[in-house]
Amino acid sequence: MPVEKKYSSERDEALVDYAQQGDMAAFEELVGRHRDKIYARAFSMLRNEDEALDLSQEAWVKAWQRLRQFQGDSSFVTWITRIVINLCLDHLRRQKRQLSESFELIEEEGGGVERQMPIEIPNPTAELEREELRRRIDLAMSQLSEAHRTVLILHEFEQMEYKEIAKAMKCSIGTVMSRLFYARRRLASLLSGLKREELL
Amino acid sequence: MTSSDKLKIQAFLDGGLDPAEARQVAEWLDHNPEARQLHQDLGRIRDLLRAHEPQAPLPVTPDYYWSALQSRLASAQAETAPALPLRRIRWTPVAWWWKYLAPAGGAVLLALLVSLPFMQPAPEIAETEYQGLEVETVWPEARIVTYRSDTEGISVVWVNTQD
Repeated sequence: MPVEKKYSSERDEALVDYAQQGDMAAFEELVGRHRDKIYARAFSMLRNEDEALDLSQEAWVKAWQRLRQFQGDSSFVTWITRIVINLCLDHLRRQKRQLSESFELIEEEGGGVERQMPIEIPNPTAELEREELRRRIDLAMSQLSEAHRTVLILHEFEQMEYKEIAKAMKCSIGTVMSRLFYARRRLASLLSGLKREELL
Repeated sequence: MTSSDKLKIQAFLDGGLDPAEARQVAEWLDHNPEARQLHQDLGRIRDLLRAHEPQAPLPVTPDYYWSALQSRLASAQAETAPALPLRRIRWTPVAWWWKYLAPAGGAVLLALLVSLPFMQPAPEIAETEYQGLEVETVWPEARIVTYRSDTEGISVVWVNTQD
């Protein structure tokens, strides 16, 4: 029986068991199942293909090395996703892009976004196809600072709680709440702006 | 509405309040249209995002991705692999004697070789007959082989200390 066929019907939990015993073919199957999500998460945080590829692979290497520590408290995909998120956060910290963010934080503190334009969220079913809406959301998110984009990703896409985000981002819960509030309002404004441009 | 009020509405939306606080905010939303509007706006953008997470397709083929990953795994394993444990030698009685005899035998042999240039050929052998003589000495039990060539002007000693 071919190796691929043997593993393709197995659940993640069983594949993890095999891989914990050194079975590389089982690990390859896990990579095949989840590599797209892991890469996409890295890209969403870094906005750079090369860096996302590099760190997504680094996450798999770390997962292989630490596989025996995985106790199954969460799903495997949640575990490997946390690994890539932490790698990305470390990477972003190293890059020290403080200067560009400081401008946006000043704007956040002054509540500038809320004064700029009303919240006008496009209705996906009536105005935009789902794929097009995804593309626009992606574009709008690329215009957020790394700190605001990250908190949005961790909360909305990874469903992490405030305290988990605070721990991962090494900041207070209050900062997380403030950044999340600003990021939501800013994103809504950007999406409204994109809609308006389309109408012109 | 203060910044604190806004963050409290958001926390209510995200389920981040304890039950008592949540009840308070719920009552407040019932009676405050501005607060209710903010709650709705935040909820809409949250739901929109969760339903339309942007996709980022892998920019390389799956085979290439796995191949590159395999290389990194191999490198990582080479870096983190523990050093091989030293193999313990079992000293059998014969091996135990060899442990001491081999170095001693080597020392004796070395002394012999050093003295060879000073030794004269046997008188009954003519000088011409001695030229080009090659001497090979084999001691099977000692695993020591010597080879001497006067024509080449060299002496070679090979000591095998392995079984």
